[in-house]
Amino acid sequence: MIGVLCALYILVIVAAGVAAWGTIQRDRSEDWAVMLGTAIALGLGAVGTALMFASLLGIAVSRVTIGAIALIAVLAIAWWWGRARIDWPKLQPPGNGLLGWPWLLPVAGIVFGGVYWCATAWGLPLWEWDAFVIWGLKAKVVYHEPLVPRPDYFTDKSLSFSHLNYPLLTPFLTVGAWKMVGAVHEQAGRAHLPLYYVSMMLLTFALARGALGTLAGASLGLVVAACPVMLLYGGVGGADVPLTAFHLAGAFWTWRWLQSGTARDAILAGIFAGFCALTKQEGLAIAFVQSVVFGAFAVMSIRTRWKSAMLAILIALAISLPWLVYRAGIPDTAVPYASRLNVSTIVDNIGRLKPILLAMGGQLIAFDIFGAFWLVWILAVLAGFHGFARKENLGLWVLFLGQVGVKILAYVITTWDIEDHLQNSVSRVMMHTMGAAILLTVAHSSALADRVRAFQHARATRFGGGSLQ
Amino acid sequence: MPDDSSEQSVVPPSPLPPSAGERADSVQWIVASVFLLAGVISAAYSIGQPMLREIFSEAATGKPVKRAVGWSGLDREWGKHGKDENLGLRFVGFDARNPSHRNASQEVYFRGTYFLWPRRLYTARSDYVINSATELIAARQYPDGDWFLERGVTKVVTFVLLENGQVQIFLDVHQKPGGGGR
Repeated sequence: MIGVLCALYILVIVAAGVAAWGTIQRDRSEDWAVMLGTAIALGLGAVGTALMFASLLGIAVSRVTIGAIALIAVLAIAWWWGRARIDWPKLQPPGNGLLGWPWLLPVAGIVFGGVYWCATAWGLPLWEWDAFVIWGLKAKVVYHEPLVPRPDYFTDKSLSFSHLNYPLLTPFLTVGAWKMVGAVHEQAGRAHLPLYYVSMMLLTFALARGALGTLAGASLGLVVAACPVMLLYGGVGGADVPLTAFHLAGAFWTWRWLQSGTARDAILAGIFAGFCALTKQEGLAIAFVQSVVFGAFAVMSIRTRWKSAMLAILIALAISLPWLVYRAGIPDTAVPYASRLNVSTIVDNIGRLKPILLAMGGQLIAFDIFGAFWLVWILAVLAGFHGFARKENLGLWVLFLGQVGVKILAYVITTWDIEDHLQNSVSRVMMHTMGAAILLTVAHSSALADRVRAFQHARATRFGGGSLQ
Repeated sequence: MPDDSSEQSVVPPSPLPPSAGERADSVQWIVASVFLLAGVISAAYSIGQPMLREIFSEAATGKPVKRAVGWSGLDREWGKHGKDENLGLRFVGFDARNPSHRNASQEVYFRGTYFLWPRRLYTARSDYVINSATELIAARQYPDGDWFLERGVTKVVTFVLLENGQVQIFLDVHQKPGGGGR
């Protein structure tokens, strides 16, 4: 019975995502993998946010709340379905003859990665430290009482170890599952986690396939899926993987907006920036950096983009603002970044830069943590350095480096022992940046391919054309 | 919903003729091969990692993961004492300078708080900040019996670290307001 109820909850999440997608995109034609990958991420964020907003209004999460979300989703899908335009996959394998089969190999690896996520999410109790100290405890708090009136938990400083003011999107998704099954159930609370994996795989696949073909799409998906850090944290129940997934979706639609300038791309980018802000503290920084990218590109092409850029920023703000207001009343006692963000603290701790940079740089070659992911990234950037000439790729670099910069700053001003802090968090912090890094890998690889194509074309024109004359 | 009809796409159309596009397949093939090789190596490396293998096999067979075994012992202890009520918590003999003492005390308090919620595990007043085991042990600002009773706490669990390194657990039961003692 628990399995059936969890499956129903997953269906509600996917339906909410498809409904949100249909409402935003309406009759716009889109690739199936982009649609599904985005819709799943939208569903996860939308259900978590909706349950949280209801709780902020004093409405406790219940089956009725979840049923209301499901009803709205079904109505929206019914409205959209008649006008939906999706490019579904063709059934024949891509490529010619035998050359078409290798894509099955990475796809098999990705499927196995999915099995690993499902097994660790559904088969084990909550064992990882942050998963129960921070996220599991918060889920229990909001399972028993709504956010208004404010539960004592949020002002009890003897519980500061659980980071009282961390955002609540992922705990509310857990609570949704618990309410569906009618009890606190550690495995049921993680039933939805494999959806993050599906979303990330579909978006990575769609991205790389669009630029470089099916085999490249599936293979880059495998590079991401096989990251040991992803496999380790995917099913544990923390907020690191959800943040990585929302950031990937946000970076994807930011990149699309940088290319197209359309309002619909901006809306999706803004929504995912808001979800990032509601997922982890680091997500606030991601939302900020993404807004800076939107602002900068709006200024650069003020006539065509300012409206859509403002729309994205306002949407991100609208999603995160209710939480930011609520959070203002919670004591900031665990890591008071805001009060330590000043010149004297930075100057006093500037000596930390060396260990921070060494630790972050070390992750790029840490095979036991990221597999070959960062090596592929480095190779793509070096081989496709012509990609720096493209304006939209510069936007991605701002997104990536801005995030890294904010994290370096956070390490510089933290009150924790820097060696301990780095040891405990640097692999997860680098994982958060993978969203923009995946896009950069595709963007630079694509630039390399275009460069070679242009070279081949020029050579063909020069020699082939000459002989015709 | 904004209308996209007035917005212009800035994506340039591909300038390449079909013949160049066909040749480009070889470039795609090379890039894809590099990705595939990296993916296969990463997958092989992940499969070879003992920790990931161990977690997977324990998840698939339903056995608790090694790291969770310690939690199940603590959980049983909390379940035994705090089934239906709030509990108090004290540490005796723990030294904040000793890393193993710090680990043990924070595991007891942090895990216990999670396991028991919505029942509470009180060890300090709500205005006392506990971020780490150092604060947990070093402060020693344990509330008295009256404070506990005001919060519905009649049982206080005390973890005592003996000289031989063993930990003994004692249960104090408060019989009357202001009372206490083992």
